[in-house]
Amino acid sequence: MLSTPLGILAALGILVAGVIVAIFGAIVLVKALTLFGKLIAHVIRFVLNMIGDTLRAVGSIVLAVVLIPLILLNVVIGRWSASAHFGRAFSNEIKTCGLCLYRVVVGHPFRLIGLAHVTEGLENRLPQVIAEAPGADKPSKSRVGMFDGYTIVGSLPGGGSGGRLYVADPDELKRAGFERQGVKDIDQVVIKSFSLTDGSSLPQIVRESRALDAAKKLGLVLEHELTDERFFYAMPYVPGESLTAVTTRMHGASPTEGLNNHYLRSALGYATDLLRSLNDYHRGGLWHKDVKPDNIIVDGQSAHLVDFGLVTPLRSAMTLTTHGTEYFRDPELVRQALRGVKVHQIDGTKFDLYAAGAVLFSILENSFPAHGGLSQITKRCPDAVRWIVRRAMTDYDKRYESAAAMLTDLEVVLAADDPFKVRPVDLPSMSGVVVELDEAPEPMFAARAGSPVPPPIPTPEVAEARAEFEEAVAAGPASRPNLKVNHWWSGKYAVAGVVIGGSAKEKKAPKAPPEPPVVPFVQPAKKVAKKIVPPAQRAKAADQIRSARARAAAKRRAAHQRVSKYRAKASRRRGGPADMNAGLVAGLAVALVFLVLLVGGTLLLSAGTSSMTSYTNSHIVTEHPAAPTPTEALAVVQPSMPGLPDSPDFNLATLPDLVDKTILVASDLGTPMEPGTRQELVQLLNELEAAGMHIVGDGAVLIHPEIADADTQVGLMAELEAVRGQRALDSSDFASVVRNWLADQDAVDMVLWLAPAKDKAPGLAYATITKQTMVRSHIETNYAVNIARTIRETASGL
Amino acid sequence: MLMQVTTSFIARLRANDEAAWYELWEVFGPVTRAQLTKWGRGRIGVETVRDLSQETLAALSNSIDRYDPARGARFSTWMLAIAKHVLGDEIDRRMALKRGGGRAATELDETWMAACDGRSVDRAYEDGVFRSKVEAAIRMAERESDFTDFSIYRMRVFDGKPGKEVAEALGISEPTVSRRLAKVRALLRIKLAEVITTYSFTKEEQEEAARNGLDLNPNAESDKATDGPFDEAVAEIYHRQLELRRQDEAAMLDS
Repeated sequence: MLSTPLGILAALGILVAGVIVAIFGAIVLVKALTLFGKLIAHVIRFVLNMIGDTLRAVGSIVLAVVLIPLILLNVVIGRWSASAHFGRAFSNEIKTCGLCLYRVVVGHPFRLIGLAHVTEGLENRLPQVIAEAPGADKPSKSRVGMFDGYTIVGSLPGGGSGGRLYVADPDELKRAGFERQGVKDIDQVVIKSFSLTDGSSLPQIVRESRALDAAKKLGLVLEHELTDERFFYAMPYVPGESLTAVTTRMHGASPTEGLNNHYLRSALGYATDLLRSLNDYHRGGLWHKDVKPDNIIVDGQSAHLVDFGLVTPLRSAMTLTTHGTEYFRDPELVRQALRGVKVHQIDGTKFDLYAAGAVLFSILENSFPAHGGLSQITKRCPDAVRWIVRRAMTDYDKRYESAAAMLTDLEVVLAADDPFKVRPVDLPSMSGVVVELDEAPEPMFAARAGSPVPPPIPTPEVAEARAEFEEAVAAGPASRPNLKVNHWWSGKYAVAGVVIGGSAKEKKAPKAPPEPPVVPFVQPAKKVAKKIVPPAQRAKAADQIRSARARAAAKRRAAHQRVSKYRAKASRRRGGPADMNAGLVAGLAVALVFLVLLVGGTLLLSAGTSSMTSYTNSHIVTEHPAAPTPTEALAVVQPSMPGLPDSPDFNLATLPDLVDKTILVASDLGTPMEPGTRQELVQLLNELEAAGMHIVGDGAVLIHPEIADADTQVGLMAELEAVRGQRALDSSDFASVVRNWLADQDAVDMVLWLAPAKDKAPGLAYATITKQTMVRSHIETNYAVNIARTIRETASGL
Repeated sequence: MLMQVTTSFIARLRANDEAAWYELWEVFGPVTRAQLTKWGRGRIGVETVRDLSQETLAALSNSIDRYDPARGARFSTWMLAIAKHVLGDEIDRRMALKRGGGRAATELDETWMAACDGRSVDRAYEDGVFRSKVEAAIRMAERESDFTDFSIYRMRVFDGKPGKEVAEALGISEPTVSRRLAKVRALLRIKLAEVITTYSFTKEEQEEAARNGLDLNPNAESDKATDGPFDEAVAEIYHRQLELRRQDEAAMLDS
C-alpha cells in the first residue's frame, strides 16, 4: 500500500499532522507548566506576605505595649516633650499594625484571587483623598463675622504662601455689588486671607497684592481689602479637584502603558483650558509664574488655573525672583534671577509656557519632568503631543512664541479623529500658519483662573460665536491650508491640504479647476467674532489659496499699471527744455518759494522748547510752542539752559493749575538708579510737591521710601502696568490706552512715565499724559528742568 | 595640566559667580545626592540628603580658594571628599547632640586634598560624575542647536526611531535627516570636549570619554565608523541619567 504514491502522501500527511500536534502539545504543555509555576510562585508570595505582615503586626503590638509605660512614666515625672515623642511613636506603631492587619485580612487575599484592582482605590487613592480633605465646615467662634458681608461655611487646604482659604456665602448686599461689577450668579466665594497674627509676613502680603487690581480687571477677583492687620481678597468659587488627583485617577483607570483614548482626550482638553487661561493672563499683561497641576482645578470637564500667589505684571520693574515650583520652573528663570535681571527685561510668558509643557508632561506620564527639557515621555502618547511638549520645554528662545501658538497646535491634535495619526509636520507651528487669539472676544476666553473661578456666563451672541468657533475647530485642519515657505527671499510656497489621518500622498494639493471660486480664507481660531463660513460651504483649501493668488496677481497688475503710467508721464517731462511748459515751471518756482517761507516761519516759531507730539482726544496735534530745537517727536532735546533748578521753567510753585492735583509717576528705569538721574528726579518731585501736587506710584516710593501705603502704590502701579501691557513708550497706541485708563481714574490727574532711552542711547525717555493731552520726548541732560517744562506746558489741560 | 576653560570656570567659582554655582549644582546635584543617599542609607532621610548636597556645594564655595589643582586630584574626587566630609560632619553633630555636648563641627580644611588619592573613590560615583558631564554637554548642544535639528537627533538616537520614520514625521527626506543628525553630532562632540575640559583636572580624567566609547575628535564627523558607537554611547548614558533622575524624584516623592 505504501508503494503507491497515494499511500506515500497519506503517510507523509499523517507524519506532518503528528509533528504539528506534537509541537502544539509541547507548546501547550510549556504554557501550562509556566502558568502552574507562576501560580505556585503567586501562592508562595501570598504565604510569605501573610506571614511577614502577621509578624510585623505582632511586632508593632509588642512595641506599642512597651511604649505605653514609657509614655505614662514621662507624664508622671513631668517630661512632657519626651512623653509626646513616645506618644507619636506609639501612634506610628498602631498605624503600622492597622496597615498590616488590613493587608492580612483584605489586601493579600484579594491579590491572591486576582482582585488587586478592587483594593487599589483603598490603598492608593484614599490616602490622597484624605490628605486633600478640607478643614472643618463649621468655623470656630473666632472666625464668625471676621469678613463683613460674608458668612464662612468651610475652608480649603492652604498653599505654600501661608494664606488661609475660606469658602464663604456673600450676603445680598455683596451679591448686588458683584452684579454691578458685571459678575452675576455668585453663590459662593473663596476668600484668601493673610493675617499678620496668623503668621503671614509683609512681603507675602505685598507679593499677593501687587497684581490684584490687574486681576480684578480680568474678572478673577471680586473684592480685596488691605488693613493694618490683614489683607484678603475674594474670588468666585467653583468646587473641583486638583489636576494631580485627576491625573492619578485617570492613570489608575488606564492600562499601565499610558492613558487610554478617552482620558488622553480629557488630558489634552485640560491642557487647552490651561493655555486659554494663560493666553488671557498674558494679554492682560500678567505672568502667572506658578503653573503646576496642584494649581489647576478640574471642575467637571474643564480646568481652571488658580492661585495668585506669584502673579507678576510682565512689565514690572522689580527684580526677578526664583519663586515657583521645582520641575515646573524653567531652570533658565533661576539663571536669570541669579544674574539679577528685572522682570521687564525678560519675557515672562515663556516661563509660563515651559510650565504648561511640564504640566502636559506630568498628565501624560503621571510623574514630574525630572530631567527638565530632556525629560522623555515613556507612556503612550501621540508623536505630535510629544513634539508639543518638547517645543514648550525647550530652550527659552526656541520655545513657542505665545500661548496661542501652543494652543493652536494642541487643538489640531484634539480635533483629529485619531490623535496618533497626527504627525509633527501637520502642526500649524511647523507649517508656518500663525494663528493668534489676540482678538478673541473677552467673555469667550475670559480666564477662569484665580482661585476656583467659574467661567463667565456668555451672552447669546457670544454663545453663538463660540458655537461657530467650536464647530470650526471640530472641522479641524481638514479645511485649513497648510503653507510651507520654500524660499525665504522670494516667498515661494507650497500648498498641501492637510487631511489628518490621511497618507502623505493624500496631502498633496489637487489639480486646479479652470475657474477657481473666490472664497475668503477663514482662520478658525482667529477673529472668532466674525462670521465663519460653515465647513460644508467652504471651498477647498487649495482653491482658497488659488483665489488669494488671483487677487494678489490682480493687485500687482493694477500697481504695475499705475507705475507704468507714472513712468510714462515722467519720461514725457524729461523730453527736454523745448517740451517744458513755461507756466508749469513758473508755478513750481512760486510754490517752492512759498514752501521755504513756510518752513522758515515754522522753525522760528517753534524755537525754544523741545519738540513734542500731543494727542487731543482722538486727534494728533503737533505743538511747537517754543521749542529750543526744531525737532520732531521723540527727538533728542538739548535745552539751552544748563544747570539746574534755578531756571524759571523749573519753578512750578507759581502754577495754580497744579495745586491739589495728583500725578502718578511710573518708572521703567532700572534700580539702583544712577545717582545723577536719581538726584534730578528727586529734585523734580520735590518741586512738584512744593507746587501742591500729590505724588503717587513709583515717584512716591522714590521720595518717601518709608511710605506707609506702599501696597496701595504698588497696586495702582500694577493696574497701570497691566493696562499698558507690553507696549513701549513710543508705541502708537501707548497714549490711547493710558489716557483711557486715566479717564476712569478720579484719584489721578496726570501720569509721568519714565523709561530708558531706546536702543540703550544715553539719557531717558518720558511721557506726560493727562486726560486731554499726551507729550513724550527723549532727553539727554537736565532731566528735572526739561520734564518740569513739559509739565508746566501741559498743566493747563488739568 | 589645566586647560584655559577649566581655570576660567574655577575663576568664576572663586569670584562667587552664582550662575557658575548653579551650573555646578545642576550638573552634579543628582549624582552627589545619589552618593550621599548610598552612604547615609538608614541614617539620614531624603530631606537631609538634599540639605547635605547643598552644603557640599556651599563648602566647595568656602574652600575654592584653597584648592590646588597642581596636586593632581580629580575634580569629582575632590567634590566627593567634601561630600564625605559634610556627611561625617552631620553625623558627628548628631552624635554630639545626642551626648548633650556642644562639640563643634569639624573644620573644613586642606586635609581633603590628602584624601583625594583616587584609590578610595567609589567607581559607581565616578561613572555617575562622568555621565553628568555628558548630560551637561547634551544640554549645551540642545541650547545651541536648531530646535528641529536637535529633535531629529533626539528622535533618532534617544528614542531609537528609524530614519525613515523620523523623515515621515517631520515631512523631510531621509538624506536631510542624516545631514541634520550629523550636524548635531558634530556639535555634541565639540560640547563634550568643552565640558570634559571644564570639569576635569587631570589628564586621566580627560581621557575618560575615549574609554567610554565617545570619540571627541570633531574632525571625525565624516568618519561613519565612529558615529554609530558614539550615538550608542550617548544614548546609553542619556538613559542611565534619566534613570538616576527618576530615582532622585521617586525618593523625593516617597519622602
